[in-house]
Amino acid sequence: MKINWINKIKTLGLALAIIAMIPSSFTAQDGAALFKANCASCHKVLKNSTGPKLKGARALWEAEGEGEMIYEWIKNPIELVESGKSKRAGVVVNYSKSNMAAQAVTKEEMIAILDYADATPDAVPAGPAGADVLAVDGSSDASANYFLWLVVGLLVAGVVAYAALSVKRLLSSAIAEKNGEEEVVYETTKDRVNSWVYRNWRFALFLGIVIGLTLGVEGFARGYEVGTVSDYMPSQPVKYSHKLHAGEMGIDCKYCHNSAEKSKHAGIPTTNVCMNCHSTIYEGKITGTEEIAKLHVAAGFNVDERNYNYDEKGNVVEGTPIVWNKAHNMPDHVYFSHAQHVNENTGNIDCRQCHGDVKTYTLGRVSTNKEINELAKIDEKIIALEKPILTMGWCLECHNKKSVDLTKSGYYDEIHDRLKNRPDAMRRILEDDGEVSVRELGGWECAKCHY
Amino acid sequence: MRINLKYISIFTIGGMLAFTSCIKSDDSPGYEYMPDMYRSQAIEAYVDYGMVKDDETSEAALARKVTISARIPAEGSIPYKSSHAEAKLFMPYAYENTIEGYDSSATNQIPEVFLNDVEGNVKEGKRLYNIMCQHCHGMKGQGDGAVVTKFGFNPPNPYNAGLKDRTLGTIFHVITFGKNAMGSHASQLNKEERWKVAMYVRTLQHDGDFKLEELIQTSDSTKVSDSDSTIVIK
Repeated sequence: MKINWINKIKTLGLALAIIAMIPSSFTAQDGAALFKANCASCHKVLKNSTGPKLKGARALWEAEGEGEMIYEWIKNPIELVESGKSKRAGVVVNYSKSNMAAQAVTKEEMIAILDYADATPDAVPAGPAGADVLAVDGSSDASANYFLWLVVGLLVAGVVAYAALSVKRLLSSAIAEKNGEEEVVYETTKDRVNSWVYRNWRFALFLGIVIGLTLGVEGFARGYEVGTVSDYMPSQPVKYSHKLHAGEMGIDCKYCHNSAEKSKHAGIPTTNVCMNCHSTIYEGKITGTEEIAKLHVAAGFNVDERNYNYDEKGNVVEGTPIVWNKAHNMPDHVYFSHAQHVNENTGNIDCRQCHGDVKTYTLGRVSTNKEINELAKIDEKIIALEKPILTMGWCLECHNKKSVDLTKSGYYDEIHDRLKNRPDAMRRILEDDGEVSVRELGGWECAKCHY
Repeated sequence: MRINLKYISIFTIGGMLAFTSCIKSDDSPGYEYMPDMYRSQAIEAYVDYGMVKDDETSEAALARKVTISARIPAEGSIPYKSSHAEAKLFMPYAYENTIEGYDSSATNQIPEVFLNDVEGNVKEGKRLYNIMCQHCHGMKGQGDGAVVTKFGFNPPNPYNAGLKDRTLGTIFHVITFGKNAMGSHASQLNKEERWKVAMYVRTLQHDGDFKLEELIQTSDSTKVSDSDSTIVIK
């Protein structure tokens, strides 16, 4: 029994060391260390986890009048259940469908662990979240709001000025009428504008140029945005944070988007992937239980029973699926495959080449050229591109710049052999930059992507 | 009355600001002009079925909207493979997700095809491990990944201590069905990849030291002891 031996040696060594220092007593720190070494993979002190919470566990056994039985339970749970001498054991064993393994700890150590658990203070309720609240409508709108208010202010001022002028005109005409003077015939607006322009032609010309330039520049800028999607982060039904999961937790992109290497689609993770962790994590630091609860509803998970909802046939009763909003959309007339680009035997492209530094986003988002070009400066794997992101020009630009490693196992063997047999073609390909680009292997052929 | 230069300027500048300060809604991808097959009419993965044929509000369309397009394959089906040997790797798994299944999986033997290129398979296993496992189990399998150390997820036992005696069959079983706080990773790793990850985990149990003879020997000599279901090597 290797595992038991190792644990025994470890715990014995620890116990001996401690006993040597403080005879026959364990401190709270020892309890914490023992808890971490022996119990933490299934138990938490304050929360139910794979096993029930340890704080107050001893009191529950004592309430049944079986205070001593808890130590027998820890020593060998199955034996205690099968012996049938403990009522509490029969209850605890039903907590989850997997059994607790026999633990190689001495009774003193058990007491130290349980003392530590009972002495741990309840968690202080978490304060309001820090700066990075997962709100979609965040700080980026501040400047836009400033402009909006400026415009509204100017419009109001304009209306007030116009109204004041109208009132003034009405009053003066009323006075004129009252005094019996001849009614002043006002010029039409057109006449007035014409005469004004005639008198102030320099200013009018200047104004015309300014307006024309603004319209032209804005028109071109907006015109170039037609049909391109950049810096786009649609709202989502669940406020998921890439920043938290991929950034701080260091979970690889391909853990959730796991079909990226094998399929056309990178894959939106199904809820069972979320449930790999969220079957034990019910509360987030920022959004509390609210967002994770949506996940549990979709997966058909009952938090109180710590298990899925099953029907009579034993199938999981799932809730309504989460309908995520699509950020990256390819037109139907073009074929794009993640597998071809991401798999290390073919494209071997870093996810950030197209999606930017996702670790800094919250929800899924279309990146911008600027951000990716910034990344290209610090990471040589990433190629800086000029054409608007997610357009055909952008694809072609990269197909022209990206070199292909023909020595990668398998995929390029055929074309590699053919090139080796045709030195003239090889020379033509290599003479410009000494590399084989995607374009030189036919990456600019229409039918590569449009078929 | 004369037109005041001031008012003209104010209106012009105001109009220009109004024109340039239009903001985009967060949920709008941007301008479109004559969208050319931008939204697929064909049924594709992750495409919202509710969009089909401009019918977005009827009861049938709303029902389509929440229809899952990605479904679990029928029970017992295996992916098409061109060779018999490859297809054999994907045959249905014989062990059940029970305590008994876990115990008996310890004697499950790795398919021999993986032993032809141990080094290559372990290397591939390492790559997959770093994607699928390291955020909890840690780079060296010490149970010290960022999810555990920074966020207090249940720490897994270190491979070279608490989990040292797990055989390839057990590791494969645990990846398939999950254990304790760990969920099932069967949807993320196919059977071939699971064996490769299991091979790499075996090297982590021996601190990166991995010998082919040892692998075969340990997988042959494993047995389940009767007393307390602890798995014994040698």
